[in-house]
Amino acid sequence: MARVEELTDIPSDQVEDVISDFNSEGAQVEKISQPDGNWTVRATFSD
Amino acid sequence: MKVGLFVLTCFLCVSGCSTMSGIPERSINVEKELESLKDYFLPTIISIYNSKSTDSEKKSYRDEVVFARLRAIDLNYNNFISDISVESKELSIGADSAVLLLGAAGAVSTVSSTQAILSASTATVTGIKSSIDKNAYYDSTLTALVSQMQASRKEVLVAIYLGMELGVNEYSLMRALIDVESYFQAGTIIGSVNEINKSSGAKNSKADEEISNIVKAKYHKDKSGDAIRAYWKPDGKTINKNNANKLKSWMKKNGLDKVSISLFVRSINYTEFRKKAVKEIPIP
Repeated sequence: MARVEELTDIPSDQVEDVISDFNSEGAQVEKISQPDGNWTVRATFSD
Repeated sequence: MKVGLFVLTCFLCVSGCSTMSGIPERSINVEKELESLKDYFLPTIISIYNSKSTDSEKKSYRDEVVFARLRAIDLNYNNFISDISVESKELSIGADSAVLLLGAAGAVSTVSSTQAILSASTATVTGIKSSIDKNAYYDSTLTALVSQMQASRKEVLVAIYLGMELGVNEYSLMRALIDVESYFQAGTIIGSVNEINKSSGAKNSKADEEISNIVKAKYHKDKSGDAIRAYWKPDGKTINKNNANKLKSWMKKNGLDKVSISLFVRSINYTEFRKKAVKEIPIP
């Protein structure tokens, strides 16, 4: 079963690093904008 | 006179609706057919089966008993489905409507005018509609239960048919009768509710499992996280496999084996763990 990790409240200047980190671990990554201007990154790791 | 006419009109409307069961008249006499099958329900069937001298005769008798019982169960099941679908309309709508009709007749008898009749009629129609709306929920539930019954009955029937392909050594009469009983149970409200509960329970567990697989955390950048990230990805892009293995091994030892390094490095939940990791691995 897939495992999902969500990191919230990521500042704009940090979000690309976070996405790159999750990608390098083999996750499928979604970037979601928050109303406050920050970002949520959702990483899905398939088993 | 007016009152009598009004009540009669409403009664005809309601009785017209309640006779709609959605099931056509049967062209067979169910009771007579059930009567003709009663020999297959006698306790002597086991001794008759055992008295057969060859497996072939036993198989033939087994098949006869099983088919007879399946037929009887089907006949009773069809009666049952017909009865509950008619009752759901006749009893619920009929009873509610009768109360409303009496109320309406009372209203008309105290003020004897056309306006009063129309006013009472409107209230009655509104009331009946409310009754139908309420019963629609019951009907929907009933439809779901009947669908489940049909599905469960088919499943058991397949098992019975497969069994009857076998000889009596593999599928004896007693074994077949156990399956026939399961076929009967599958056509009951209790059996149907059990199946639905089983199915919803399994879905619920799966949903719980999926929810427990979601880890949510707030982003938090700190010095320990920066140090660990630099250790894991010295140039900021490429993973140092040796360091990554050491990091993973430490995380496993500390119960964090189901957490990615990316989350570990930047989650507010692991602030203290990061300090510990920097100290214990150690990370410069």
